[in-house]
Amino acid sequence: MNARFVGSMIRRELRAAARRFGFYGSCMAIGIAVVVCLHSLREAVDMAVDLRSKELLGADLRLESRDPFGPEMLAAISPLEEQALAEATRVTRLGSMALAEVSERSRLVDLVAIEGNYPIYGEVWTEPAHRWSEFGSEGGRIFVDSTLLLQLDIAVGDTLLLGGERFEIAAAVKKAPGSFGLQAEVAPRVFMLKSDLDRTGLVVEGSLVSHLRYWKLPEGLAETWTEANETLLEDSRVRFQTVVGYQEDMSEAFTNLTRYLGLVGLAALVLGSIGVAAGVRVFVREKLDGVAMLRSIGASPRDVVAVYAGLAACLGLAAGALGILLCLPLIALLPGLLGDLLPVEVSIRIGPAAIATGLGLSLWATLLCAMGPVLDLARVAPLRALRRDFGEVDAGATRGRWGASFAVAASLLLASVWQAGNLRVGAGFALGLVATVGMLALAARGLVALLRRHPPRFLAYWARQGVANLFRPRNHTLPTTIAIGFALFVVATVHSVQRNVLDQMAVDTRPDRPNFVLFDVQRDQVDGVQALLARHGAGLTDQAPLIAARLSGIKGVSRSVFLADEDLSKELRWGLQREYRLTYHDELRDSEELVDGEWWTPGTVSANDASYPVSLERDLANSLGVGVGDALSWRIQGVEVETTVTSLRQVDWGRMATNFFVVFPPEALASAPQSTVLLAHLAEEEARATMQRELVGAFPNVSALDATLILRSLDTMLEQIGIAIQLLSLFTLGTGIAILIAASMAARAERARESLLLRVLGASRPLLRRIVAMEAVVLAGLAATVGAGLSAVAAWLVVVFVFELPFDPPMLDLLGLAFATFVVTALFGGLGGATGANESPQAALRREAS
Amino acid sequence: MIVARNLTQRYSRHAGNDESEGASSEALTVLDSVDLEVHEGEVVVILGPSGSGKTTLLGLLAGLDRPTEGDVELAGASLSSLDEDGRAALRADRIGFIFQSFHLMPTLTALENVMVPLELLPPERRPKTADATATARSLLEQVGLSSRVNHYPAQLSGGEQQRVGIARAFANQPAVLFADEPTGNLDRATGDEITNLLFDLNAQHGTTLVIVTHDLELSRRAHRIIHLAAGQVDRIEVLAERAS
Repeated sequence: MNARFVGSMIRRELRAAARRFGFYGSCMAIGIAVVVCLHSLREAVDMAVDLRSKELLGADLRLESRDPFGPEMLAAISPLEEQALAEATRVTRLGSMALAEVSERSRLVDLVAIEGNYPIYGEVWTEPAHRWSEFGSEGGRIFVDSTLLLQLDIAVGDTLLLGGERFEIAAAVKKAPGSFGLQAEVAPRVFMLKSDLDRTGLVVEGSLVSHLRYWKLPEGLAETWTEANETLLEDSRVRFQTVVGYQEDMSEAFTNLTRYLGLVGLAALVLGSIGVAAGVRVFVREKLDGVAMLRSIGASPRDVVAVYAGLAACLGLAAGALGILLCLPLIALLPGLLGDLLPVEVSIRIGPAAIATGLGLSLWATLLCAMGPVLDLARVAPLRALRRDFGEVDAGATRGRWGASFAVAASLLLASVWQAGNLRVGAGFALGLVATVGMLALAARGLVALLRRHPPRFLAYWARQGVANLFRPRNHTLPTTIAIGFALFVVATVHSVQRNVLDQMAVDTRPDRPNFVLFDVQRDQVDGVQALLARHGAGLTDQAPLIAARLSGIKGVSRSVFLADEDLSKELRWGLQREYRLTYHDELRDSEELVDGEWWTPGTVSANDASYPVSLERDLANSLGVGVGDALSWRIQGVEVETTVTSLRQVDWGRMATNFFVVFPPEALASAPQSTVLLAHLAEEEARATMQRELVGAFPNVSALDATLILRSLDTMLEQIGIAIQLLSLFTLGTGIAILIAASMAARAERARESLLLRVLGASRPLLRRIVAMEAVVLAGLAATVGAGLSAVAAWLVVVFVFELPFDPPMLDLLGLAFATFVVTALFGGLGGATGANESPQAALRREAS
Repeated sequence: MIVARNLTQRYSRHAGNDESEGASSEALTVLDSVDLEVHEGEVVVILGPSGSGKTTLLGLLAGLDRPTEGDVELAGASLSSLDEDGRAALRADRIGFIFQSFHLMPTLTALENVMVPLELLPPERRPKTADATATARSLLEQVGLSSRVNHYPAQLSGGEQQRVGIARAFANQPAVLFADEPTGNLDRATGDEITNLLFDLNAQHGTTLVIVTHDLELSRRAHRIIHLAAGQVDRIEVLAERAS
C-alpha cells in the first residue's frame, strides 16, 4: 500500500466532504453521547461506592437478625469481638409512631437505638454542627433526620413523644451512614440510646424489631468469618453484609437501571449507524468515476480501499468526538434528573475510559457501516474510466460483503449482551433489531416489486414518474425506508413500553383508595382501633391478620438440603431464605384471581388436619418450583406446619390492598400468635393528623403510615425514571431527524441529476417538484406505516414477555408519531426535489460536466 | 513497446431490461482476433466508426481489462501474467491516460490532480512532496495554467480541464500514453489547441502515444492509423516514418 498517496487523498477528500460528514457523523454522535454519558455515570457511581462503601455501610461487617442473637451465634461472634479494632456497635431498630406535641403532628419513624460506638466509619453531620459528639452523654435526648423536623413542623429543642416517653431533640441529622434515597421520606430515623428505648416500652412480644451489630475488623476477617459461619448464619436466620458485598449490591442495583437506559442508547447508536451506512453508500456511489480514474492511472484496489476506509475512520473519530462533546450537557443534567435513584452523591466527569469507549465504539461502528460500500470500491473496474456504462458495481454477495455482514451481526450481539448484562435479553434485543431491519427491508423490496409489476398507469405523468423513481436503478427506497422506519420504530417502541410500564407501576388511582396503613395492631386492640377509625370518619377498606413464618421444606425435602446446593437458583434461594407474612381468609379478594387449582370450601378444613391447603401467588410458585398438589412445610412461631398447594393466584400488586404471597384457611392459623394490618381511607390531611395523634396516645405500639407520603415519593421516583427515559428517547428522535436530513441529502443528490435532464427537456419546475414530492410521499407513508406497526409488535413483546404485564397499545400516540414522521419525511423529501428544481439548467449542466 | 496478439473480447449482454423477468444472456464479440504492434516513440491513432471496438482495444492495450482471448505485451511485460495489483503497478509506473470526459477529481485542485500520478509512482521513483509539487506546477505552466493551479475542476472551462488532464498524463513521465477521444468533448478551436499541446509535449518527452479518435485532423498527425471495423483491423495506414 502506498501510504503517502493514501494519506494525501484522505486529507484532500476530507476537505471537500467535511460538511456532509458532519451530517452523517451527527447521526452517530447522538448515540455515542448516550453511551458515553451512561458509561461515565456508572463509572462515577462505582467509584463513589468503592470509596464510600465503608462509611455507607458504617462498618466492615454488619449482622442483622429479627430475633435476639442466640447462644450459638454469640459464641461464634466472640472471636470477632476479640479481634475487633474498635468497640462493636449494637443497634436495635423498629418502626414506631412519633408525636410532636408542639405541632400536634405524628409520623411513623425508624427508631435506631444504639449501644456503643456509632458510627464506626464515616461521620454524622448535624445541624447545629458537631453535636453528634454529645450523643449518649445524657439520656432523654434524641437526634432526628432533618426531614422529620420539616414533616412534623418542629425544631431542635422541641420534644417528641415516643411510646409515652418524652424526648428532647438535640440536633437534626443531615447525613449519617446507612441511608439513602426515599428511606428518609418514608420513615425518618430517630437516633436514641438503647436504655432510652427500653424506657419507652415499645418493644413487646411480636414487635417487628431488628437486632444489628457492627464491627471494625482487620482486613479480610469479615469475609473469612462469614464464609466459615455461613451455615450457622443461615440456620440462625442472621443476615450479614460485608463491605465487598455491599459494594456489589449497591453497584448492581444502579447497574440494572443504567442497563435499560443503555439499551435505549444502543438503539440510538444502531440507528445512527444505519444513517451513516446510508450516507456512506451514497457518498461511495458518487466516487465511482473518480475511483475508476485512480485505478486506471495505477492506484491498486488496496490503495482505494485504504483511502475510503481511512475517510470512514476519520468520520468515526469525528463522530465519537462530537458525541463526547454532546455528552457534556447530558452529564450535567442526568444526576439532577435521577436524583434519589443514585445510591451515592457523585461528581461525574468524562474519564479516559469513557472517552476511549466513545471513540472506539464510534470508530468501530462507522467502519462496520462503511465496510460493505468501501469494499465494493475495490471492485470498480478501471475500464469504467473509458466507458461509464461499464463495470457498475454489483452489490451481490461477495466474501467481503459476507464478512462485513458477519462482523456487523457479531458486533451488534456483543454490544447488546454487554449493555444488557444478560445473554438472553442481549441476544433478544439484537435479534429484535435485526428482525426489524429485515422486516423494513422486506417491506421496501415488496413495494418495489409490486410497483414494478403493476405500475400505476392510470395516474398523471408526474405521479407515475414519482412512483417509478422508487424502483428505477439507483433508487434509494431501501435505505430510506430502513433509516426512517427504524428511527420511528425505536422512538415509538420506547414510548409504548414506557407508557405501559409506568401506567402499570403507577399505583391504584381509585379516588377512595386507602391512604392510611395501620400495622402491629394486636388481637385485643383490633376492636378499639376500628372504633377510633370510625369516630374520625375513616373508612376501613381492608384488614388482614399477619403471621410471621419461614419455609422449612419443599416436597418433603428440607430447606437446609436445598440451601447446601451452591448452584441453587437465585429465585429459589430467595424464596427459601425470606421471612413470610402469612395470612388467612376464606374467600378470594378483589385483587386476587385464581389461575390454577381450586379454592377450599369454607368450613371443610379442621384445625386438627395433618396438612392444610394453601394458595400461592403464581410467581412465587414458579420461583419455588411447585404447583398444585405439592407439599410445603412451614415453621410458624417454632411450630412445624405441613401444607399442600391447592391453588395458584395472580395478584394485582398495583392495587392498594392487603396482598399476600401465601394464604391459609382461617382454621389453620386462627389460633397462632398474630398481629393485624388495617387499611383505611381518610381524605382530609388535618383529619388524618388528628386521628394519628389520638392513635399514638391510645395505642402506642401501633404504627400508622400515612401512605400519601409514600405514594408521593413513588410518584417522584417514577417521574424521575420517566424523565430520564424520555430524555434518551429525545436523543433517539434527534438521531432520527439527523438521519432524515442525511437521507434527504442523499436523495437530493440522486434526483438532481434526473431533474436536470428533465428540465433541459422542458419540464417545468412545479412538475419536477410534484414528481419528487410524489416519491417522498410514498416513501414516507411506507416507512411510517411499517415502522409504527413493527413498534407496536415489539412493544407488545417487551411488555408481555419481559415485564410480564398486560399490554395496552397507546394507539393515539403511535398514530401521532407515525403521522409526524410521515409529514417530516415527505416535507424533507419534497424540499430535496425543490432544491434541484431551483437551480438553472445551465449551472447544473456545468456542475455535472465537471 | 506494445505487442497485441490475437486479442478477442466478448461480453455477456443481458437480454430484457429486468433481471427479475427471466433475463437471458448472449455473448457479444466486441473485438475479434486483433494483432497489433506499436513501437517505442510511435504515435498511433485507432480510428473507426462507433461500436467498432476502439475503446475496448485501448482498454485492453492499457491493461484496464483482461481479454477473453489473446495477450498484450506492454513495455516488456506480458499483461496476462500480471494480477490486478501487478497491472495497476505497471500503469502507475509506465502509463499515462487522457480521457474524453477529463476525469479530474472534483474535490482536488488542478495542482493536486496533477500530483496524483506522482504519488502513485513506485517508491524508487516517487519524488518528495516538494518535488512533486514543483513538477506538477511546472507541467501546469507548460499547459498554460500557471495562474489556475489552485482552482477546482468546476471552476475551469472544458478546455482548461483537458489541459489539466494532459499535464496529469505526463506527470509520471510515462513510456506509453493512451488518449481516448481527447478532443471529443471540446469545440474545434479548443480541440486544435489541445491537440497541439498534446503533440508538443509528446515531442518533448518522446512518449509512445496511442490515440482513439474520430477526429480526422488529429489522426493525420500520427505515424500510423489503424482502421477498425466490426471488431477487426480493417487496414493500417502509414502516414509518416517515425524518427529512429
